[in-house]
Amino acid sequence: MKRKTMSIITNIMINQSSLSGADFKEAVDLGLVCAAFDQTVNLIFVDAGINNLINGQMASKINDRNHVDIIKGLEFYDIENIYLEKESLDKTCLKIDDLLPSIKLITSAEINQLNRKANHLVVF
Amino acid sequence: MPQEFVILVSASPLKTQAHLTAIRFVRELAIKKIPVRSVFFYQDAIYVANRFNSPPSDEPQISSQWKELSDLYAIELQTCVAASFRRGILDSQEAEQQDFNAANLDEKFKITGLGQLAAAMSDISVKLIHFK
Repeated sequence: MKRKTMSIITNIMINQSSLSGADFKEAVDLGLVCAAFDQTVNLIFVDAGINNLINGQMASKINDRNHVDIIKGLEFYDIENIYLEKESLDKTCLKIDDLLPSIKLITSAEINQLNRKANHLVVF
Repeated sequence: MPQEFVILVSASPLKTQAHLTAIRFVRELAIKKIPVRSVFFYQDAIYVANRFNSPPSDEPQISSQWKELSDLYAIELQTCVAASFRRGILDSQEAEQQDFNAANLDEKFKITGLGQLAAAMSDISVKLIHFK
């Protein structure tokens, strides 16, 4: 994990499914602005939030915007730490290969540790 | 130890107790003279800034309670510009620009950007508390 010197750590946890209103968009917007302020941003997907990470979503079919493209572009805006809770994945029929690459699979206990180290936690 | 609090409220004023809880929390901080830098309304919480909100008199007056708190303790009430405009809460400048015949942002609330919140979060002395 890249850690900026003396950086504030902000964890943004997303537990809402993709296509469920503006939650994902507004969570990512906050993450992007925090990253622009040189904070280390950890984007953590849990529960139904992991649906945001399914590869090959065609949101355009329902005239929505494709979240996957947004996630793929995040590293260019200094959000390099995208995590997925293993326990949430295990509850579904999804495999890690169904999801976007470069997502880090971590356990709930590891997420707790990440949250303890963070300065801020915002849940969407 | 945090020296100053920033309050983030993201829930709709009508769907959860978040606003009522946040109001009680901020009031307690203020009474104990613990500084609150700002209250930032994001997502559906920005509906509280609609000046046309007219709840029945026997129901909680959430918008009024925030405004009283702001007046009493000089706490700035900030709304996110993108979240506000997305939900049709417009200040007079934006309403004019979009050719609407009225603005509905209550003047006690200030339209700001996420940058304002992120800047506050970048301050090591700030503790962010999120009500949702």
